[in-house]
Amino acid sequence: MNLSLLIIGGLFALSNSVVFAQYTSTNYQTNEIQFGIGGDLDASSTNYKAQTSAGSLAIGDTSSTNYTAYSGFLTPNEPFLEMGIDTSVVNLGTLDTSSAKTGTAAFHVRTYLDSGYTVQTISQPPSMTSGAASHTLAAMSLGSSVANTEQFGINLKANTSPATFGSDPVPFPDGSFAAGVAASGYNTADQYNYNASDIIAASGGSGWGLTNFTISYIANISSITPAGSYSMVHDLVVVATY
Amino acid sequence: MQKTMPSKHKSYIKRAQLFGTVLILAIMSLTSLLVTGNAGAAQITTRSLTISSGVPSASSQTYTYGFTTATTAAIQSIEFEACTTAIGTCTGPTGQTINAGTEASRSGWTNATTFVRNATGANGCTPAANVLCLDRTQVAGETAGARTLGWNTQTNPSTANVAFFIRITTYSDAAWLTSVDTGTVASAVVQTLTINAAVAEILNFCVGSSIVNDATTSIATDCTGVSGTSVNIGTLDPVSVNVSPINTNGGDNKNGVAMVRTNASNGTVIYYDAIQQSGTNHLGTLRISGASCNAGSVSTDQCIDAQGATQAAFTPPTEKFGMTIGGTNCGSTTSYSCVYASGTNNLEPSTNYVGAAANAYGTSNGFAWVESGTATQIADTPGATKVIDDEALVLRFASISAITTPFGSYTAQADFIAVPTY
Repeated sequence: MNLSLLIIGGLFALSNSVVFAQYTSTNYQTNEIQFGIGGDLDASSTNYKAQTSAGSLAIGDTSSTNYTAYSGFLTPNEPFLEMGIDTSVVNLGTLDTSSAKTGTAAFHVRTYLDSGYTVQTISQPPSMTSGAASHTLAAMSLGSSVANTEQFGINLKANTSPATFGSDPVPFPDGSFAAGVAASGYNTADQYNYNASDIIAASGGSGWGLTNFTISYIANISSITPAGSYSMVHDLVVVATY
Repeated sequence: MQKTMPSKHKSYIKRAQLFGTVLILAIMSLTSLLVTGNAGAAQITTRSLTISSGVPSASSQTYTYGFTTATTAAIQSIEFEACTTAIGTCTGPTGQTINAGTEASRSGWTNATTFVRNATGANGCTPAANVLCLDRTQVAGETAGARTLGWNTQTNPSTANVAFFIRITTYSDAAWLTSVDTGTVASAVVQTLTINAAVAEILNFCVGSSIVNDATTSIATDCTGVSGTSVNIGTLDPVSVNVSPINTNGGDNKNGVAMVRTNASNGTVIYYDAIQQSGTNHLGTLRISGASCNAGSVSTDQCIDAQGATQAAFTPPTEKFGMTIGGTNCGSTTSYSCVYASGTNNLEPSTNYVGAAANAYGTSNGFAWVESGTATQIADTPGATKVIDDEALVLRFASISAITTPFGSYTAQADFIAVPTY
């Protein structure tokens, strides 16, 4: 009799402590279960709290019509979002009518328990910061770099023209965990585009995890692009849907 | 023969039965708990937060919440609580202030009554920098479904590359008492990424001569194609005014041209100054170099009187020398629409050097010439657009001799100067 009370009490505690579940159907759900040789969801004492895992048999996610399972060393039971800009300054140098100037910047997005995310570019193209006059470099529609034509554009791909630079999105450690992709309009090598408020990156599948993105910038000027210093604070916004 | 089961085995069976009973009871209890676990506030689904800027500490931002409510019920109050974590004890993100502003946008709502910020709150919503309490009086139910709500005057957290979470709870009453649906959204502010570039100063300015005598025919692709150092207006006649281009009486059928390309964003001014030749008096006018001329307007010496700074038409037989701008030639301009007749040229002739009225190409307004050598403005860029792409001033020279003007070879020389301001 004492044994039965103990078991029921334990199950009450388990069901009341979990907010988010990883295995669900219409009528049942299980929470944070483990198959493996060891681990503890809540190893805690008065002063310490830890989650541990050892020797996981498999990691990644899998799904069928009715079930989705996420496995790994640790699968936290709360939504997670992280976006970081890994570059602080991109200096395109002195622009030239004869050839494009290029540069790259890196950012990363890591999400968990979301149903997708997008990354928007908010800023206008670089504008003049010197003198009293004002001028903003012309944002380009999707196309190639053309010398002696004022253009400002980006993509999120590895390019070979007008130079070899940039990189495709890189899921970490591989596509089983993250599926960030360049968005339409920004996903063709050697083709550049820029429109403030456009979505430039998004989650492309069911994978949750870290994707490293590289923004490739190009700028061209014409002979009458006003002289001066130009600058743009590139404002990027991530929108995750849960 | 009947075997008697050992009492030890009976005990195992009893324990197994007891364990099975307990296990069944436990599963039933757990199942009951899980099925009835959503009896309180239901989960808001497909929920997101779109912030108008991801820059740390950015103020005056609009936060637009998108979410799908699960329950058809009145929504008369809402709590938005910004936290550093999605669940657990809420700590407000450093520097973030959401307890401000008004409703900026909405979609999908069944009832049109807008929400207002309540600075006092009650029950489940206590206003703070990280807590925004909204309410409205609208007892009619909101149909479950997707909707958005934008709220302005929001201030982002100050710590870069950090996510923040906003916990949303809807209430059916106007006092944050009876919760209906709840859910959490996340967003992030990120380190500032600055893109820098520079554009060097450009000035292509050239002076030459050309047979072009209109404002539309291309004089040359650019300055590399402009040549010539002189314009010959032929043998002067006291009966009529010789105006370039002259193709009779020794004229070379050419006008002067001054072509400019510059990316100066604050404007460009074109000047000329008459080169002072050798001799006495009137050194900068059309004269025989080295000659001794008389001061004042004298038509018997070897210096033809300059018109002066004020433009006027020439009338035979009074000797005069001068210059005007027939028009701004746009024939080589490719970077923008440039039509002199329409006034869309950026480089415009200045007062006293406008050849004809109303952007007509010609010389009907007359001529001017400052012989002193003082730099005199003949064109600038008065419009909003200051840069110039290979626009060319067509310089038209004119002279008439008096009956008493001595014969000989007369020459005038000038420097042309472009002053761009970057």
